Amino acid sequence: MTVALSDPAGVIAMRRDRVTLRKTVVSCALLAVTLLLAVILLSLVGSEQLPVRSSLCALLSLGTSPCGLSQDQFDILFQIRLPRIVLAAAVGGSLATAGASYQSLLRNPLAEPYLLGISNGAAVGTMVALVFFGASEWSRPVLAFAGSLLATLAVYRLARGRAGATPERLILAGVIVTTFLSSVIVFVTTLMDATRIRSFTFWLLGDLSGTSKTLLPVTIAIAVIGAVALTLNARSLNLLMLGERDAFDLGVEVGRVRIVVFVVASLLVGSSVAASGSVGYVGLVVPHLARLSLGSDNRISIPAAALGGALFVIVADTVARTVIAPRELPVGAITALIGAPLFIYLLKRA
Amino acid sequence: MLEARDLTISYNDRVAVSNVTLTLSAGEITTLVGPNGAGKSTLLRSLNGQVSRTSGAVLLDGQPIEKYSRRAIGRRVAVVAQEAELRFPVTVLEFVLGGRFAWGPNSGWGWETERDLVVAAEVLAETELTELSGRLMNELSGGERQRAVLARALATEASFLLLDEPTANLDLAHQAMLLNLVRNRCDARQTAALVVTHDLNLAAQFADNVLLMKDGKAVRSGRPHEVLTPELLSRVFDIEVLVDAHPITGAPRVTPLAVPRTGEIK
Amino acid sequence: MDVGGTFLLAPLLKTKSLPALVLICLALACACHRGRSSFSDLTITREVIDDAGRRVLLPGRVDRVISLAPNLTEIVFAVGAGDRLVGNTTYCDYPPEAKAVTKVGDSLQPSLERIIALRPQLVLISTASQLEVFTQQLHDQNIAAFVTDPHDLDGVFRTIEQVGQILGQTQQASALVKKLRERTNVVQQAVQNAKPVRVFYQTSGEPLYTIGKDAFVTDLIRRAGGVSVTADVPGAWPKYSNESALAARPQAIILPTGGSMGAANSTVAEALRNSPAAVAGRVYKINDDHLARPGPRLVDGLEEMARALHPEAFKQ
Repeated sequence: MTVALSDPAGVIAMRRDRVTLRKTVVSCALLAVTLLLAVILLSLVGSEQLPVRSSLCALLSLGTSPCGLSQDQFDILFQIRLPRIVLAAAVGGSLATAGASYQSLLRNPLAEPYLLGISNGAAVGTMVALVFFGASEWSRPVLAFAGSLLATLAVYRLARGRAGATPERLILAGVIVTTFLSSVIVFVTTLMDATRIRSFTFWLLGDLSGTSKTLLPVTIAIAVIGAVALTLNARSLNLLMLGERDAFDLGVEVGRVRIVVFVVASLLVGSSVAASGSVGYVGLVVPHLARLSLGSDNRISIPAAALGGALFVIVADTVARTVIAPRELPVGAITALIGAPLFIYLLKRA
Repeated sequence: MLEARDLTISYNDRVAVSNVTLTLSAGEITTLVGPNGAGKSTLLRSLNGQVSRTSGAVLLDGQPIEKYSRRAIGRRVAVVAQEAELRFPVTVLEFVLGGRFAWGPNSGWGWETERDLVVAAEVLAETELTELSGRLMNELSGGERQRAVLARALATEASFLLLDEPTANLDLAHQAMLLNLVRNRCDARQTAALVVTHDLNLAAQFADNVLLMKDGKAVRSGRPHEVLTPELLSRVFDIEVLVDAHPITGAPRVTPLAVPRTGEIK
Repeated sequence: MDVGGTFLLAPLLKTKSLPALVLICLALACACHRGRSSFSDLTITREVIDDAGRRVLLPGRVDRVISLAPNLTEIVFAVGAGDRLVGNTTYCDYPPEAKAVTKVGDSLQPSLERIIALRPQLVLISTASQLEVFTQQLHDQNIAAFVTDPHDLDGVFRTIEQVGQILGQTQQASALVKKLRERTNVVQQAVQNAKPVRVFYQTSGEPLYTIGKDAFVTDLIRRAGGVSVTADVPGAWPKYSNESALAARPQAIILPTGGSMGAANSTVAEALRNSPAAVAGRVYKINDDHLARPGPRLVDGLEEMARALHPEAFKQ
């Protein structure tokens, strides 16, 4: 039985099942609008009360008009809150994109920057920067990137057996690297003095209160470029997700894609950790949610994860900076509190 | 044309394939048989450029295969192997459309074209999976999944099909069905196929040519009745066999007679 | 019915060598006694209650004491018992003689082995170093552990007196506390009529940490003629919101820096760059060792803060 070449009904019916450009654009547009709304609405919330109408007016005027806000209120909104929310978006987007890519490349839905030890690698790099190059702001993201790259290579090397790097070996290798690097972090911590330890422990759990004016644009740029670069490899990742050998047979340059994913994902994790410490669970939960609702096709799930991750961390950070105001909680604690039960629920549904 | 010329492949101080020459001609099915460790899969994998040669050559359309990009090879040569475990939900249609990757733009991005969808529809029909095209791969039976793997390979519109033990783990009905599909494709489009299999009778039934290998060397190549003889088989497999003719098709029919000469199984 | 045992003991009990018997038993008892530290003086003569509410049993004279916090080291030397300090931490650097004392580790990870090897009779612990778990381990080794936890300046004075009493330096301790109280009163009287200055105490800039209700520095600032803008915040060293720091509009900022801290924390946090304090140049760097160590030098810190906040009150 052959299908006649001109069978539009059959072909169109098939189109409804797949991910198409239109479906992708619509979903991403919806997410982007939600993200923008979140940014605007949540910058009205904080440990200090700001007048709602004036704040909205000032936000919508893009900061050109104070709209009746006092200088202090204006500064709080535009110098402290808005940059922090934007940083949260960049960090969330970076970590979710990295997570989604690792999961596709390593064929493991549990692959996540934190579990694989890559976050810890970046943290160690950042620590080295703080201890040895404290003066230079740039040393942090650069060494964080180096740390995450080295951790990635270590995991991959450890996981390579005769049958290739199977997903099980990868998770095992990741656990080994994570625990090893955790001990390194604890060791370096003991060399610090008491006051430094307190603030460092807080940072390790995720702290978005840092206000570096130079590094914020860099973090944003990396988040955007990284998401775009990985989305441009989405079709290859779709095949890699089903098996490295199969992808190879079907024409994917497996080695090249692997390098691109490892390098770009390390860059994303490195810049996030350098800016805000380890914010866990984002790279695990958000890509899962994206795939559950939109399908496993990376062409839609990677950009959706990027936008969804930004949203997730913005919300978590809003909780972290308001729930015991004027004190703050580390945002990583909130993402874990939300992420862990959410993940258990997702596992049960699957 | 896809051929291996005097090909030797060795790694880790082990010679996997030794001076083998093999030509795949359009419209013909060649089966590759031999005991474990004979180098069959290695030889097959070298024909799409996955395993690199130590000496000799693998030529695609007269050019060394190393000269081609992965994409170019993907358009000409397709592999059907044991399906890897699927850890992410994917529909049959999405799975089969994966075969169109090599025809897409020269990057990791791009969307399926009209033609891609048409080809997918055709191969789904060819492999009788049209009704199942919207289902998840995990929901299919083993036989249906293997058909999907074949469908994906057929979707590449490759001139050369390399099948590595495609009927392992399939029940009787599906074994025959799968190879029938391959036969039909080769007849319809002059595709050449190489099938690595343990099942000598299936080989005898479907093959135009048979290559018998042992310890990396080509022992004999030719028509089934030339290669599947008691003397050659007992020598290569270390077991006494009886070879008669299939009552209906006349193809050689192989029956093992006794325990392996070098075995202790009673 | 242990007839045989009674038979053996009976003649012994009837002899006049009972005192000798008692002494022999005592000797046997201390030979079996666990914990080498008790070898030097068996007699437990005193019981004191430490700041954690624990009953601490002490011998009559303490000759070997270990300090596990820099402030406690300073107190031991200040009450004149420095010669009896057999161990302290790597952070203990004042007075200069403290540097020569055997180190048992840092205040967070002291080495239990080293401590035991030094055979102290008493170990002084500050809860600022978070050593509650450690005190249990010392208890298991029969080493007396005394925990201090002052919440304000009066608490610090009490600690000095307590340590003086424990080490038999009561006179010196009282004299020292008397002098410190005098200095404190001078300061408080000088500033009593001035309007309290609203102060932000920056423990750390990035991330932003400050002092809360339970910190002894909050009390110190009050006595120095100031009021901490975070005086109501629960806890001792809370991580503070940048926007609340900005909204607090402090008139002065105190940066504890220098000393053993080095150059860390020597710049105002970003959120306070445009505060009234920063704009008016009222950012005061004070030696962290004078503010973070609840010991005699805390009064130095008090004086430095008061002079910074109310310079006109100290013009001589």
